[in-house]
Amino acid sequence: MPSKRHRIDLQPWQDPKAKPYIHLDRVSKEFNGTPAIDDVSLSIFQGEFFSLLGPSGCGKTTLLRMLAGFEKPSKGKIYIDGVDMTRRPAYDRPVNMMFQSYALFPHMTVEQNIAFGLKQERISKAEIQDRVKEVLKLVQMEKYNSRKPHQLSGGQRQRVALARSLVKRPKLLLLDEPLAALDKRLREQTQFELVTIQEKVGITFIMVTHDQEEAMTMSTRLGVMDHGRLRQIGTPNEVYEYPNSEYVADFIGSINKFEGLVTEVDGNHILVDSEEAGSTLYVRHSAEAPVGSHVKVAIRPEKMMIDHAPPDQKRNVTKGIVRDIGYLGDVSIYHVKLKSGKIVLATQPNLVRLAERPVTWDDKVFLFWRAENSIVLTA
Amino acid sequence: MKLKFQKHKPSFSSPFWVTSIPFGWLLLFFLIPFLIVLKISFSEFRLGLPPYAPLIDWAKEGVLTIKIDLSNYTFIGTDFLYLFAYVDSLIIALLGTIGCLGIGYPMAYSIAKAPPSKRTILLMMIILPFWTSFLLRVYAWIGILSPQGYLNTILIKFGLIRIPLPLIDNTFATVLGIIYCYLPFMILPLYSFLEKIDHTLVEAAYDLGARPFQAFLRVIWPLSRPGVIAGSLLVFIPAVGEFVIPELLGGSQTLMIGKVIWNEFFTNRAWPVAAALAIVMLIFLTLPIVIFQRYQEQQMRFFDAD
Repeated sequence: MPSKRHRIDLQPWQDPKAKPYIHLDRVSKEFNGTPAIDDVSLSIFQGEFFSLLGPSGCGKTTLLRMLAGFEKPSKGKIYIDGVDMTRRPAYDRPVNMMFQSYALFPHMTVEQNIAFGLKQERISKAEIQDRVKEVLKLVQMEKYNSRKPHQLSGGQRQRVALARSLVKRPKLLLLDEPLAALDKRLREQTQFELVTIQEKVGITFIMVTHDQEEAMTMSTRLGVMDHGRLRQIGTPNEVYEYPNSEYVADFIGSINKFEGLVTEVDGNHILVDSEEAGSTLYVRHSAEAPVGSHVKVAIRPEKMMIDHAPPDQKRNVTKGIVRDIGYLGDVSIYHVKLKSGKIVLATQPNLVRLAERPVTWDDKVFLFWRAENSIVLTA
Repeated sequence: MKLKFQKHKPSFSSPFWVTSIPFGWLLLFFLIPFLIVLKISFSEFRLGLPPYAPLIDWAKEGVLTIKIDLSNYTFIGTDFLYLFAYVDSLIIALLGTIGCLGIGYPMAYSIAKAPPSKRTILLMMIILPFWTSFLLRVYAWIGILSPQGYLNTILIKFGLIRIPLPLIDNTFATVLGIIYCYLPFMILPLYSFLEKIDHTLVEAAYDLGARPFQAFLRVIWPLSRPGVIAGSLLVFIPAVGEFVIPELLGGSQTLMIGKVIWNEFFTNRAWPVAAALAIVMLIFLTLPIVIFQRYQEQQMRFFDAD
């Protein structure tokens, strides 16, 4: 995972006095009466790598296009560096975009593509040359300056597209699914590079992606979108460990959920009687969950422990039969069927080779977890 | 107009037989008639039927004689009438092409920008006039442009002019006729190229700071150039040899080569001279075709690559 240490150390979003660099103020967008963006407010700080994550059709691309100036919001305002950009056309914004299709001009060489935006600014020829050279070096494409886009591979085109959008030194760079067209191995490698480049140039990035792994790896913070609404904004860790809703919990990674009835409130913990889990669940919860209310308790598969022997704890334990094992090499995913018929997933690292694996098909096993590793989903 | 040559030796697999059909067609209806014209152009004029002497003759003693008469070609060079006719044809065709481009480009562009459901209707409206006879449509222009025609009548009625404007029987009317008749040949190839341009490229240009006009100049125009060239040649080449339009709208002062050839053939019955004129015209026109061909191949390379 790329290190986030060098980037935003201060976590400006934690600081109520920090001034946001990009600010969306109650933005809505309708297409022929159908809402695409529904009352979205969002503050992004200078130097952030922010990801908009969501399934296709959730409005994330529309939001990006509004930031670029290709769409005008039906309601609300967009501020960049304190300036109201809501009505500014795309060519007049200090914002550049890297398109999903890369949108390289097919009739121009790599160099001409990159110089396009600079020529628009009436910069001297010598300076254009220097800046093109500099940015080509940054993306390691110096050797390809006189090639045409069709003579480049997918990964090389991606680099040229990035260089073209960076060369104007925008205040904000928008990336629309920047890695979607690359194969898996190249994608993983490029994730690191993109983050490194972002750290180097210090430009604020906003990326749209449907790939949660990508968003988790690269972003300082991410926003999960659904049906034109922002469901949760937070650091990758916050969103993964403390999803605020079932939707977010399901969208990012996989999660086991048990329905149950609150039987006791014990300080900042609650006791939940769950028929589905076949046991009493003990979980930390600070929000309102009075005795008698229905809640869902969720545990990530990798936080589930699995063993033949019963654990020492009385709460947060359930048992079942191993129905299936998904072998992924580094980890295995155990599909355990509980008495209630519910299938629970438990991920375990493969510490030993496959043949010596202690837990195997049709074994009766105990599943258990620590109270602090489970959360309550209310929405 | 697309003359495509195979680059590889044809093998006797199915693609060969598929391509052999258009090749056979061209051989039968283009190459053979062309060779006949070429042959006539080298024949000697004579009074009789046909009005030219045979090129190849068996003399009495069984000797094969081939007589190639170059005088038809030298004759063209001696009479300035022919040179003027060629030059006028090229100028009129060029004006017609520029006119078609000026009117056709915005039309093709707006059709390509229209919502897909409307494009078919708009293209239909471009093609629709072609369902009436070509001759009839040119005659209709006589009705509009003649001194007693609709246009002059209206202008006089509104008191804008007192004597009818000389709108017909001149180069103006000929160019107008060419623009009107050949406009679809400009619009259709232009449309097909403009429609292919990925709109995100235009957005990318805006994003990089280009205003709409600059985006047009630096992205849309260069990418539509193959369409401009295809459309221009589709208009220019047949317009050079146009006969009907200058005959009906051009009057006596417009001398286009098509009309000269017609006169030589039918009025003077000078088949060899007419044939030679046609051959020279063909040579004149081969140049733009070759340029077009080269350009098209180059374009193919970068459109195929994607």
